[in-house]
Amino acid sequence: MQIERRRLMVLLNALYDQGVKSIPVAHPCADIGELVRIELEDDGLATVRFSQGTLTYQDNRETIPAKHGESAYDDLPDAQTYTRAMVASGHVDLANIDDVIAFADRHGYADLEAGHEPVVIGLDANIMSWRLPERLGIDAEVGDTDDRGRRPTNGYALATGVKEELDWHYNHYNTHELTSAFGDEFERLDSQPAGANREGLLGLYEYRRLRTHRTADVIECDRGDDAIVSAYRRFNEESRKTALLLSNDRGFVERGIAAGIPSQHIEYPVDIPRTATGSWTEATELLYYLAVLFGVITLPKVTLYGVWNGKDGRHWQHEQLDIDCRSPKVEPPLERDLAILEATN
Amino acid sequence: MARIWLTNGTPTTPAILNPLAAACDQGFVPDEAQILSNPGVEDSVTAASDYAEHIVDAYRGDAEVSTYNLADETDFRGIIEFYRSAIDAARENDDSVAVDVTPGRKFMSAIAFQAGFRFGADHVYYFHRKAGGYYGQLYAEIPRTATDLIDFTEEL
Repeated sequence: MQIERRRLMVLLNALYDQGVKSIPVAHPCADIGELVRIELEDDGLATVRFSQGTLTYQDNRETIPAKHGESAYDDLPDAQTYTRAMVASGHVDLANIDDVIAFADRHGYADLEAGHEPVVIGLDANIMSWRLPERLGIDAEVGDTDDRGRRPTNGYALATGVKEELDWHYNHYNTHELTSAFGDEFERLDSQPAGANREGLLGLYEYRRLRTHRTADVIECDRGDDAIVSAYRRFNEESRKTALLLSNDRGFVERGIAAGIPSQHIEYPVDIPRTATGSWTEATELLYYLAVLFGVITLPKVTLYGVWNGKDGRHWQHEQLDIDCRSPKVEPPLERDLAILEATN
Repeated sequence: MARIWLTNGTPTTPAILNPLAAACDQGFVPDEAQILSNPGVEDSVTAASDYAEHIVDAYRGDAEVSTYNLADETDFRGIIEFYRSAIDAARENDDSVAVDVTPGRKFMSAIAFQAGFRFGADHVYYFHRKAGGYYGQLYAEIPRTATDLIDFTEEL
């Protein structure tokens, strides 16, 4: 059964109704095991216990090559990506969150009625996957408004060079090796994107989503920092809009600033806290990212597949996961609620 | 013995549907749903009528949904009559009847509440959204612990 990212609340509700209020989320391989535990609490709150912080996860991942080989190691997201998912879901703050907000305050909230240039966001490839503008409240559609009702930004400027950089083509895939390393679940991942390519696909489809669902200028350029920054410089000079650049790469940010483009470094924390309390909605975001990055995660009564045989471009576009219900009691309410939401769409 | 659901129109469709879905979830799957409508809320009531059937259907029920149209939203006697006649009919037929006081303007809820008790409804329901942030969303996609279906016949 497939379920869209925006519908994952249905899964939490179904588990809650079955009496599952504490949800261990694990990778099928025992050497990795439980990643986080989601406690479903009153009033729509959920506390996430990070069973493995970044450093523990990194240590555990480092044991994999000796035990299971390089393919298995490469299929697991690296520790930085692991942290980025926790930030993207809203549970962990950026290390330099105050700087980023100050940057947005300084350059954003253009007064269009007074003739100011619209402010648009340019995202580097290394942060495209994570929907950061929405997370930070600076998105043009759903960002926080100021006391005059203005959004921090007015749209996006998307560089084609960034899109090309997201095409990571990391497909050295060997299902047999993964199955013996991680478990039978990985049989369903045959000829699906492996490892870091899944993060690349998240970014590619986020690029497309912004292009389709936001006011977005597409800036034609080659790949590589030089070409991308030069293209943004020309855009700011010629378009009567101001692009702000966000990147996880200090070199990229320095080039941007040298070219006169307002640019801000996005810095991730070295490790993550033991627990964080958020909403059930944020918990569903975390499930989505973990399922895609790890390919498969297990929860009580269900197994969530971020990739599976037959996942194609449309599934990626609609941000779908596949749910294998190991408990027969969970499937009927899931189907029921998805049918209701489908009918009232 | 049939189950009858009585509710009221309001401009947002989920406000009409969510108490119904929550009631279905707790086992009150109606065979009949009647929605009180007025000219200001006609569109959302029409949409809610269709969706209500889908919701009941998803809970393995089969509901007939009808609307009772007021010419004016402040036709207080009309509102009272809607509840009185429906509850009386249900009692005559030995049906179980639930009044939903959630949607609509405050005076509509007040009248529905009073009518529910006075004419002897089996349930007087209010769908309480305990946590903010889920406005306009449907019951299925709101955290279970962020809502509560209160039955005032059990509370008062």
